Amino acid sequence: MYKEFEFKSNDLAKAVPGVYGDVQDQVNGMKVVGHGFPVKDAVEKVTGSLKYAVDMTVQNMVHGKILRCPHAHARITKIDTSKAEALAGVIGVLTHHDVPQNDWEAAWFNYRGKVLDGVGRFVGDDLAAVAAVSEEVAQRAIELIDVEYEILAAVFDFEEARSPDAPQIRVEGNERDPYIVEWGDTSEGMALADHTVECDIFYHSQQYASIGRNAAIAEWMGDKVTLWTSSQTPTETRDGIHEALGIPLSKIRVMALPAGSSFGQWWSNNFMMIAVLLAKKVRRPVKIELDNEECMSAVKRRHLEKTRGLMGCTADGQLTVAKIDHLIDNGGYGFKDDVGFFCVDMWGKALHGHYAIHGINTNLLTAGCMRGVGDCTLGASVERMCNQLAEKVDMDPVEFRIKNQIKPGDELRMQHSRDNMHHDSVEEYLAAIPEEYRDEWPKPFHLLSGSTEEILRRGAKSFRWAERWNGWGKPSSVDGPRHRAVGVGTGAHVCGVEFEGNASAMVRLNPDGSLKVHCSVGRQGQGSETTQAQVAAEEMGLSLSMVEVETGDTDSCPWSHGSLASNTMFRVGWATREATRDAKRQLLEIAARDMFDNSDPADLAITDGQVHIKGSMSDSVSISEVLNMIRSDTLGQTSSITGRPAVPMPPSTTFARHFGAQFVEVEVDVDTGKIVLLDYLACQDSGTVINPQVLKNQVIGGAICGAGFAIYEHLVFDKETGAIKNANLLDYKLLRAADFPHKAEVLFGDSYDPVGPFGARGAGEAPIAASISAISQAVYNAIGVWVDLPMTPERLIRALGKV
Amino acid sequence: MQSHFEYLRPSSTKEAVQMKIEFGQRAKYWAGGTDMTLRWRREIDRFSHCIDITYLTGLDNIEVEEDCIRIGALVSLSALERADQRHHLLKTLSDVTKLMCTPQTRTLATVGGNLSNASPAADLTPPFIAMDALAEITTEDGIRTVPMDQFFEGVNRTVVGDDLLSAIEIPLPESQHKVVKYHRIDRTIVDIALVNASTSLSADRSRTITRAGVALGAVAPIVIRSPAAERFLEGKSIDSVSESELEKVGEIASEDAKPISDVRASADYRRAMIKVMTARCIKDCIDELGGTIS
Repeated sequence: MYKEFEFKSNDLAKAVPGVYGDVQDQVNGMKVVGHGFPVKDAVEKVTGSLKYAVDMTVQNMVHGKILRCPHAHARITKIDTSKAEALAGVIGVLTHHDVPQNDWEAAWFNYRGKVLDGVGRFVGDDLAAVAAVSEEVAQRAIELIDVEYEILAAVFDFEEARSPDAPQIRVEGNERDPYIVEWGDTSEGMALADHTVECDIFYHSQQYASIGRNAAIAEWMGDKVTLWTSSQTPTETRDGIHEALGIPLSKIRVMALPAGSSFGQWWSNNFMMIAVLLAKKVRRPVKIELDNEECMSAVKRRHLEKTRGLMGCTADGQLTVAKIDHLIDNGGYGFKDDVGFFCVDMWGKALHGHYAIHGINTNLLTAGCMRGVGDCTLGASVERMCNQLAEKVDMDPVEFRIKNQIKPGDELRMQHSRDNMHHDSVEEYLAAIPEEYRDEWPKPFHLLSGSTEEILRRGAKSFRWAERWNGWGKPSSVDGPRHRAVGVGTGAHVCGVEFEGNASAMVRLNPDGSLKVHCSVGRQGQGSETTQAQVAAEEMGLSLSMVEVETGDTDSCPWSHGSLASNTMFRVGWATREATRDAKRQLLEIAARDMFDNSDPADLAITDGQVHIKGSMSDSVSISEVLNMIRSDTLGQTSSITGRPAVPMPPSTTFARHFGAQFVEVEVDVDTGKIVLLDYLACQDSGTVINPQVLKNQVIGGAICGAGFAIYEHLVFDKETGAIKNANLLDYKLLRAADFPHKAEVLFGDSYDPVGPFGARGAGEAPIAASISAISQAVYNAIGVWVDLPMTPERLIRALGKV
Repeated sequence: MQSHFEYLRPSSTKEAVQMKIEFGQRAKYWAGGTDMTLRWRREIDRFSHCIDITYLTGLDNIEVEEDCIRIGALVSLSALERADQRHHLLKTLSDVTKLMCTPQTRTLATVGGNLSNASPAADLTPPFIAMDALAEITTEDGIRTVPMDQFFEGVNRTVVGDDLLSAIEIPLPESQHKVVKYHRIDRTIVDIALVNASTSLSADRSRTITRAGVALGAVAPIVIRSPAAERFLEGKSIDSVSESELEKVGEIASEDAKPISDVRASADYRRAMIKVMTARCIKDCIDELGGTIS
């Protein structure tokens, strides 16, 4: 009943990596998609003229600062702002008494709570805010606010927080209902297993550590508010203001600006809501600019996580069972319960499975989705157990993955139990899909395209894996204390989600033939302003220079999840293409009627902005001629054409994933514990590559981010207060470009997605997960011992028993 | 809240010292400002007067003489980095500066500032102590010199007081070949040392080690020497030190270390690494002297 797609190979990806343009042009005739154009804001970025939120000012703007909770858990019993208000230069103070007591929710349960409610749930939590003529005066005023607290019992350990006797952090209780995915019968899977391995692994918390910080500027005009801030989720941020303030969405305009980097940090954040409320109270535009320490200790972070479980396989390496319990700590305001089911699907050939995820609140900084959420932790646990099983059956890790990882047509189970489906069972969900879509949609809960197989095979060949891999736990060379070895890891992630609404986009074809795309996405360095334009330009038959993209203005951009969950290209790119297709249809109907003697619009095409009969460029007319013709006619019906998707996008969590497979060579100094990355190959299956330069950058960026988590990155929490002790870039160690192999290569997979724009899928999150697992395995092969993350020099030396 | 301060620009070293004497602890010298700005911003240092010495002349030269190398206190880290061709000891110091902060920051940061900041994890301190370097300090009346191993009083505290560190002198003893090596444990390409060590060996024509310097960083409030390790090496031939003796001298040095545990590393790890790094430094020194490990 669902559409049977032909699984065709994608010629685009056969182009030699590094040779863009000509080759691909000849291969498949696309003029814009598949070409490595420089990003549209490259010059602005390198000349420093691109405006991030911290660079923005508006007239009559004043400065806000936030009073932060000095305790792990405390209720304000009395707050006296009179001394602060009396300070020269102070415009006003916002406390919880001024704030509507509505819960607001950030995307995908990254925050749930009131903007201010008189309770601090972690050291650094927002308690009040001051607006003043300068940041310095505002800070001085913050110090003059007298607060009396009732100190509440606090809990930092997420296992302790599960106890009914634990201090309760939220009215909803500390623990969410578990999110469970199961199939088959795990006891049967155990019985079938010739080998089993167990794990009990704790993961430290990674910080987004976004370079560039963030600010929020709010300005009210009457009862309407505009917010400028760097955000990946423009329309979700507007929704958050709506929930927090209870005002109509039509009165809220978010102008989302580029972020220096984000990785999930800058979606919608509570300090943005504070800026909105503070500006309303003081009747002046207010800018709250976070300093680096606030960015690292008062916004959010990756969860602390723990995996306990077992996996088993037969003697010939067939996974028979995965039985896993995984805990995540949500900190004060996170509300998430479903990290990391992507590995459930990636290792979906396991015959029987049971995964349970438990989201738990603690009196630590709020935790939220960071790039590759769950993949980097639960995914890493599963990869390690699979490695251990492969060792037991003496199987090459590449072959073990190919044998047990999902292929097109295989079942996807991750979304089976999702509440957002609004149906009690998968069967009911399927039954509720409208008849008219069934013929067009791919089969839900089954993988439509892509896999790790092809990138593993091609990657292994390119990396000379067979020559360089010396067996499990065996270095490929030893020179004194320096052990070298290779490793391989895989990762997968969704390609966007549809949980809170379907993606949309709008395009406007202007009278001069230029095209403006309006789509709600982030610009956190992933090139969306360029790749969305490439999709629209290709569809419309325009050169890239004729297309510009508005990504952040919620007054013009229709709703989408924004740039989260690897959503941007697959779901928003799909909407951009459909909107462009709609505008093109309208244009060709007018052109066919008025300029091509009532010919069939289906016989027309557009090339380089010229409308022409297919196959012939003679008698072509430019888009601007068509539009100006109808514009100058006072009986004409339009002066520009607006396009929007005519149909909904199928629910992509039920069929789309993107995949990463990465190969690394490491050198471990077994006397000091230092790990050096020597060689790197990152393979990526994202379907059609819209812009090879952009994707290469994104894949390497993900690999570096994963390498950081594997080797160094972790927040250190004070045992007594839960405060973060390394909220700075001196002691929170981010890898730099020079810490990563200079000659790292990227290889693109060969798949084509029948639904995605021009065959493309998502891209951003599989690379980080693959990197973590590849490096972990390589270190194991170098020293023969599994080291928990992060594999800092000291932790490695301890694992070797030398300290 | 950060302190407000008055900006002063002396026209001579002497005037700078007079200003410092006048305002005492409320005044701070400004050289590269790279550590100081951070300390001021974080309100660790609050001062009323900033004495900008960046314009003083004569303090930013590196002079290589027959009997000593003299490095002006205002020599930037990037200038020290570029002096690698001028002397083999400067080559090592150049390699050390490459580990410090970032290329951009190195153009501002100064040798004198790095020493005056008196961080126990400072990269330049261990090699200077290992080489028996001297601090040249300008006072109101003239100059006093202090051995580098007596220069530091504690974390961020030195013996300079209201005077001004003006240069560092590395003595080059007659008829001896002196080398210095440095190792540290760090994390990423831009980091401070979690723990570090430097050794300097001087050998005479008979290939005997006449003087050994062993300095250990980030294992005490100040960079310390390991006199026992030095004595262990002195008098040995550069061709007679064995692998097991390298290990032994590392152990001796690690016994002198008094590390603490902090957010960067544990005491146990630091102590263990002193052993590894000391042995590696000595091996590197013997290699450069043309000796062999037996």
